Amino acid sequence: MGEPERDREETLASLIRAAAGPGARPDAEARERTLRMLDAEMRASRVPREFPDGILAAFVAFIAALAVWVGLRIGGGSALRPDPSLWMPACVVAANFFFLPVAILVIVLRRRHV
Amino acid sequence: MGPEAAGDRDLARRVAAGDRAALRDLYDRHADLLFAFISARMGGAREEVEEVWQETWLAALRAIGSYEGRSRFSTWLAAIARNKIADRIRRRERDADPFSVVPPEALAAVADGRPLPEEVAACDATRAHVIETLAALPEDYRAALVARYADGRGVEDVAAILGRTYKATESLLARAREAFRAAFVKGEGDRDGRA
Repeated sequence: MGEPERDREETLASLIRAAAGPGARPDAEARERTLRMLDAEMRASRVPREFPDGILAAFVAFIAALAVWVGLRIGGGSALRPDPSLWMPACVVAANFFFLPVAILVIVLRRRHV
Repeated sequence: MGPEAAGDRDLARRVAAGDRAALRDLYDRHADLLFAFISARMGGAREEVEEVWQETWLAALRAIGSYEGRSRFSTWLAAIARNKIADRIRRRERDADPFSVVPPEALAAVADGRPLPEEVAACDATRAHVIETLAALPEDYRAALVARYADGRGVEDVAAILGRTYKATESLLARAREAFRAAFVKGEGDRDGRA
């Protein structure tokens, strides 16, 4: 290494030493303490797990089947009678449809703000 | 995108999913440089630097789901740190500028190998720019430069740490120095151009 290159290396060394030397680093205790804090924060925030796809598909299939069944019953004229075996599932189906736009809105907002 | 950035993106995604081991890995990769960056940008007491460093990590953890990997993780982290530093400075109403400019003597010294006055090397803006430059380098370059010059280790030690031969380490250091010089001068030039 020639003299000019040695000078350049010394310049660079003094820059890096001043910026990233041991004095510009966290000590071991602070490092460990901060990591513990982050770990606790992560556990406290309980990052929501993804909803299992299988259960989600089964749930959707159940609601769809319920909707078809209610539709068939209404088509058969059962809605004209005050029959709890019809209007209770009908309420479940109606509530699902009612909350669909709300759920979509919540999902979109959460994705934007996570 | 290089393997290191892709690695950071993958780690960040795993952290967002609640993976604690990924959190430790990501933290180990960036903790020291982030601390040095905040220390350089803020100056002041070490306790205060530590507080801002912790606040930055906390904010990063809470927002990690929004990191999409479009920029380097270190750049994303530095942006959060800048906001935290600005908040802190505003709060204490100290007349300090977290976005100050690197002295031209530092740029000239790095470009031409001129001697560098100690006060220029130690000034906050220069130190911050050094950290930003290091953070932008490939990981093996950064590791070599930090071990050799920040820690003051001999080439043999650096070779042992990096698991390379002496000759390969010398060659790596030469390439790393060149990359550092280019990025240091170019980075500040870009900033001037944007201003």
